[in-house]
Amino acid sequence: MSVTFMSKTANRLLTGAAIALMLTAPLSAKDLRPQDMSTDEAGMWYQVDKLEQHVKTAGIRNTDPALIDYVTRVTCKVTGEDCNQIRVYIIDAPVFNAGMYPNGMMMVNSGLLLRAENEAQLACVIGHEYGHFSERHSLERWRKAKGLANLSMVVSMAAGAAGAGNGGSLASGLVSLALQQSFSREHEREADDIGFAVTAGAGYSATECALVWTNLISEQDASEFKKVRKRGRRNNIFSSHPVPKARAATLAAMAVSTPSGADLGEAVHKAATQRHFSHWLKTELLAKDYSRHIHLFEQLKARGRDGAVLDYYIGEAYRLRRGEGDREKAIAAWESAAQQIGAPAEVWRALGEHYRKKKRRAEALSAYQKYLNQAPAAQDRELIAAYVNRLSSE
Amino acid sequence: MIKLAKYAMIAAIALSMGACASIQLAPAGAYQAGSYSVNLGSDWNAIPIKTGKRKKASLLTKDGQLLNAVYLFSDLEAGDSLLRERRKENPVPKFDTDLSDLELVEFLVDSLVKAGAYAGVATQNVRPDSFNGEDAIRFELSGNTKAGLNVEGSALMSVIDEKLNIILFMAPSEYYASKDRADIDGIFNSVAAGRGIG
Amino acid sequence: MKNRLLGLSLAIALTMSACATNQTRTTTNSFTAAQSSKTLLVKPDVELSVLMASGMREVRANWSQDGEKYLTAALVEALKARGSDITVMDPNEGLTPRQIQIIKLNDAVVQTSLIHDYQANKLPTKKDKFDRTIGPGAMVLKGSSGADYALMIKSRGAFQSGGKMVMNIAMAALGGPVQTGGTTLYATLVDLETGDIVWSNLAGAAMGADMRKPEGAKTIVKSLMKDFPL
Repeated sequence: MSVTFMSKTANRLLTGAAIALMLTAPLSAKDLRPQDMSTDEAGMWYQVDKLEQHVKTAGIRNTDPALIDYVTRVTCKVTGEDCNQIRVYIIDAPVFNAGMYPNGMMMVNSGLLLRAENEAQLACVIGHEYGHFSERHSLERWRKAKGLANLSMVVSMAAGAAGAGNGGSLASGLVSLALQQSFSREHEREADDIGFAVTAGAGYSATECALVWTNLISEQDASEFKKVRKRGRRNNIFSSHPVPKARAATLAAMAVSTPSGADLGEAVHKAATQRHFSHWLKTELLAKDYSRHIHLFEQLKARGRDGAVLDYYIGEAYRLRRGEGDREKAIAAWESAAQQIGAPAEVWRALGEHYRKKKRRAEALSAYQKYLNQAPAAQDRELIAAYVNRLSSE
Repeated sequence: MIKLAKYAMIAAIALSMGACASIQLAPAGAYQAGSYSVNLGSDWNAIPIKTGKRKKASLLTKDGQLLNAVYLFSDLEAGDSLLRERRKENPVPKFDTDLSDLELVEFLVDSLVKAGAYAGVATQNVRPDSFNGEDAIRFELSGNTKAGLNVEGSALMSVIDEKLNIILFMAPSEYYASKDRADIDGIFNSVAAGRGIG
Repeated sequence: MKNRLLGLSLAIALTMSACATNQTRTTTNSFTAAQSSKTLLVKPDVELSVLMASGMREVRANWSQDGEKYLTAALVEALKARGSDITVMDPNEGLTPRQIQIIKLNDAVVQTSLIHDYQANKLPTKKDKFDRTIGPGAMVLKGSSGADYALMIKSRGAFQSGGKMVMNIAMAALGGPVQTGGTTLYATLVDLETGDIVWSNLAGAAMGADMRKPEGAKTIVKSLMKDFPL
């Protein structure tokens, strides 16, 4: 069992020549479906095909045709001919992630679409996933895991026979975990290389690739939880991705030494994701990592996304956090939202709730009334109307 | 032996690890749920469950948790939750005595989604009601499971003496939400304080 | 996740018996089997794996496809012999949203039944009853086939690899645990008028009965159809 790749440094600059080679090397256009049904690869495809049938009608799937079209268009731009092998599924999950399966199913999380600043950044991540797909990393990783499982078993049996007891199997378990994770780190670097090449080759501004990670690092650093903050930090043998900082540096360096397009696609990305924006912000709050959520929402504001909606949810984050001084911060955010065009009706409800709690009767009535006027079909109008009645008769 | 707790992820809220052998018959008539009782129009099955702080609660079902579930929570104290918090960096919604009505609704809905069974849950027709003469909130719910099965339900929540009581009904929209309708309505309408009398 | 959990239930139901085992349930609701009928055979959900030395299972596409093919053929033959006309249906193709909901409800009912009707977690109100149903909405599954019943089958099986056999021999010598694999099937027959599951069977195939071969599939189906009402 070779462990030499664990000692490679994280920074590795790819020369312009090497990238050019990648761009001209023929990427597979043939159908990748295995023909021999007795192979382990066929077995993997069989299960993944079943998973896809499940995902098609799953509750967590976002079926907005316009959104699927947008992500599919970007995918086709990046993957070229291989696009007809790839099927895009958008998953409503407030986590930055995307995954490409060996049978061409690609899942993109809403958490990724929320955080991508523009089309170029989305293209970067899709390019990276395409790298895994075209290099058949899943199959290699899976075979490695199988081999390791067999190896661990043999090692622990031998250890047991030699009287090493539990210690033997624990050690072999840890080694196999490390080997498995290191192997996928190598894959991640390979996918980054390929992703960068295809993204730049498709005309996108490849400097955006590094920004994806820079943004993620700064969001992670803002977490309330030490475990989350440390996630990207240490390049220990159990981390399954190269340290984000190192990736960002590598990708930024690549961008400097390679010609790439100027396409950003900021407006297009905003338009495609607008319909879901408010709902995605709301579901972010379920994680209850409020300082991180506020950081992300402020980041989105700085990029010019809907300020009134973002101020509303910044207020919500402070309301839910319930720390010292948070109530005042929530009010300030909502009052700021209330002054902007396009303030969601919920802002008035939130202010109404606050004023009612503070026994500021007239202001509460005014705010609730505004809410009911702006949202006549509100699902809680009967409750709010009851508050209005009670306040009016006081 | 398959422990019910293994299926907690399909079917939500805080199942006790020891539920296996302890499904009891809840016969027609008064059913005591902590500090209040409800009236059952026919025989139900009762599965004991626990809150995050290990407080006893009940799950009543006719056909199984995935098909019809009536959750009865009684006297939750500040800091308690409907789910067990397994990791500090993945906190669960918690009850507190200063939560507004809308925040109580949010507490229940967020708990349902966080439990992992449902892809999304929305509320309808949030309105004032009473829980044995005390102020309460009543609302309907709709959503779907992660697998995509449409579900709906109804909830009644009330804070009495700074303690939270919840009655929650959830079932697949197809067939099961309207099956046993009379019994479900009876449970919600019959909330009474004290012991014994239905 | 659903498939994995169902697989777990089926795996736990495996017995060490060399003989075929059947746990059948028939509805306690009123039901009269039609003399001649049409049955919708939903494409069986089959996963056959190789059981490796490490204890890991690896699904084999060719075994699973063969199993599905031969099981379907054997079921069609068996149903025809009982006077029922067959239509085979693919649950992943061309279903309306309502039909999809009925299929998902069926999954939930089947999952619930596996938890409560076969293992130890029996529901007291169902002590003398088997009234599992997906409701009259089942009618939407009739579609253009005009079927009276739907027969649904899930199967999970594992066959030892060469390495596993060697490991088993070694384990047996050491007095350790031996995993020999096996095949489990879970079959339900739904009356498409009422939605009632009029018959179900949680079955373990006899050792040596192998649905990867046509004759093996016939043997399995013969045993599976115990107490079949049609």
